[in-house]
Amino acid sequence: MSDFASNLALGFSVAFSWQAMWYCFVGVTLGTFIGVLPGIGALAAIALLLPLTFGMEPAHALIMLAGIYYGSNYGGSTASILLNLPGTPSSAVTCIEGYPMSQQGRAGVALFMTAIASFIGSICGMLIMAIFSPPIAALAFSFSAPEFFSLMVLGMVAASTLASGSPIKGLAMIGLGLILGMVGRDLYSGLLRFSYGVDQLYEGLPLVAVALGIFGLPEVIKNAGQITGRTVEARSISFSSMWPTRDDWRRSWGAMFRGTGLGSFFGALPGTGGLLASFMSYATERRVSKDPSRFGKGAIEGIAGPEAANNAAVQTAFIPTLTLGIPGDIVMAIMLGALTIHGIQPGVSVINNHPDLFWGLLVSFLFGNLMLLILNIPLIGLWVRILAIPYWVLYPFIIAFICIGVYSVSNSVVDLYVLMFFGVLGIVMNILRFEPAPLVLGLILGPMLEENLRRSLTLYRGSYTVFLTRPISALFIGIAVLILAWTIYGMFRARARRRAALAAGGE
Amino acid sequence: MSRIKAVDILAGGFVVLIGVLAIVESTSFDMGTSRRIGPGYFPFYVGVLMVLLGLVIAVENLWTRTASDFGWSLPPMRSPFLILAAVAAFAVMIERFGMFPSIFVAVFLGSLADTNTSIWQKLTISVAVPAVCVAIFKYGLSLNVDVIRWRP
Repeated sequence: MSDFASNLALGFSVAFSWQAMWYCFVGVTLGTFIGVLPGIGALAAIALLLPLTFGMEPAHALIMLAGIYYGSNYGGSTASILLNLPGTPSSAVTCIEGYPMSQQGRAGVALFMTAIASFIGSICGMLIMAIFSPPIAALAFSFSAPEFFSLMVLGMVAASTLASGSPIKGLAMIGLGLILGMVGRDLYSGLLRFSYGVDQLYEGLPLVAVALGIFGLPEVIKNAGQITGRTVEARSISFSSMWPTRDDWRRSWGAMFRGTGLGSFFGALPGTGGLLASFMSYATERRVSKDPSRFGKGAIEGIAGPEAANNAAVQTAFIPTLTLGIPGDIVMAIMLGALTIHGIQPGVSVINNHPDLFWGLLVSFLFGNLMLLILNIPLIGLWVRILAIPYWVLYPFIIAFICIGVYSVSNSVVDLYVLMFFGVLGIVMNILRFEPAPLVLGLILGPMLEENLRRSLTLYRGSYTVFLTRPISALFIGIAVLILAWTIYGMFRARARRRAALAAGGE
Repeated sequence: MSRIKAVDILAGGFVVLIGVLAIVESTSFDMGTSRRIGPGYFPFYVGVLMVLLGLVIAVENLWTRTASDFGWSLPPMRSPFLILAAVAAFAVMIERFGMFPSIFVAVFLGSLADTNTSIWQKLTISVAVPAVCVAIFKYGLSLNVDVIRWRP
């Protein structure tokens, strides 16, 4: 316990230095800004700002990048509520109840409650991270290559099948990501693989260019000339109009805590994150409600639950990322890339070798979330006004920032061609309805997966049974198989239902 | 009931194609043995997995044969073309002419994607964006890029 206290003390000393507080402030403010604006997500924003952190201390860089991430989750709900346009993917579900509330003139209450729910979710997620990370890291010390391999397989299966979209297409995108992860020099043989004559790719694909190509460009392309003529009534949001009624509070408390529970679980599970958690929370609230007919017409618990869930998930996503080196979600995958760039090898040793980084980051969440509460309640009018910036002004800036961001990573024009290549791939994937998130996960996990497969097989004389005879590894594989079986069962059921519907439709 | 979702057939074909590419690439490397896997081992099996997944994607929909959404048409090409052209312009120009001119051209090309704005709005934004970028990146963050240079 004294360990815990001294760790927290270390965390406070790191997070409450002037510099750390400044970067945290910059992070959460930028995050809210980006979250509020529809058409640019946290992932693109973090990839974009990653190069700017190269000169910083790793702890500060991580504090700022994390701030952008959870800040964008606060801001994301603003556009959902006021415009019915999700600012970030995980706030999509907030549209369902938030927009009707706003049409009823209760936008202020919805905005207030999302801020409170986000805060409660975040703080609970942070506490869970503080309590569970050390034992998980300790347990992970007994992990060897087979356990890591199996855990990554579990993470990839969970990410591709539990997320939105077709599970098989998700798995295929993981596969494509794995292949793209092999681009460059093979560590053992020194041979260049999948580089097709482009020698500059020997260090592998540039992560920032890939992420911006696949998430950033298609988003701009889709929205340019499309998002027009939206108007927001900024004056209607006064502080007095924000205060929820006693009934609102009564409905929201339970939702927030259920949401926090779901969010914490799915956040900590590698590969899944806030998006899934927020949808699960919404479904749960509908199910436990005494009067489900209120849903879709501005039920406040349908905002409070999912918002608490996605923010809790954002915090607990750091658990596998920092204790195991396996990303909790797709943004964490970029964050791992950031750690590597800063010379910190992600893995079980981060929490022990860099306690200042881990505990400093954790404590910064407290500060960051308090600041977000201020940014999102008294200062909400400011963000509402930002929503009024027309997209034709905004998207040229996004294009310029993407170009400069990609180029500045290593002053390489080749990276810009990689950006274009992945922009085209992103468009093709959009047309063919593939989700880009599993691809980036596969890309980041690919090299680790191959390395751990190689090591497992070398250590255990080429026998694949090692993944099933070691108990923890077998557990991970078992869960992965269960998830797959459940998914396949779901697909059969959906097919049966479609057939029944078709038959009933008389076609 | 004979209509099929063309998009899933194409998607399946796309995945199979990538799998085949991976298998072809892997054959130029040593497979090794399972005790000591070579550089061709992992790509080969991922490629095989991709081919299988691609077949499942294509076949699954032939097999479900839902008559619902044929829903596939080429999206408008104007915006993708112009925005990729913007990135290409930046890539070609940045090391020859520096930050301001390259962003000016990129933003102008990009702004053509929005057909609702006037030419004056497009030109204004094409000057404003590089100006702001120079202020932020060159003077704010001291990025090591020339504002204007001449090395065609």
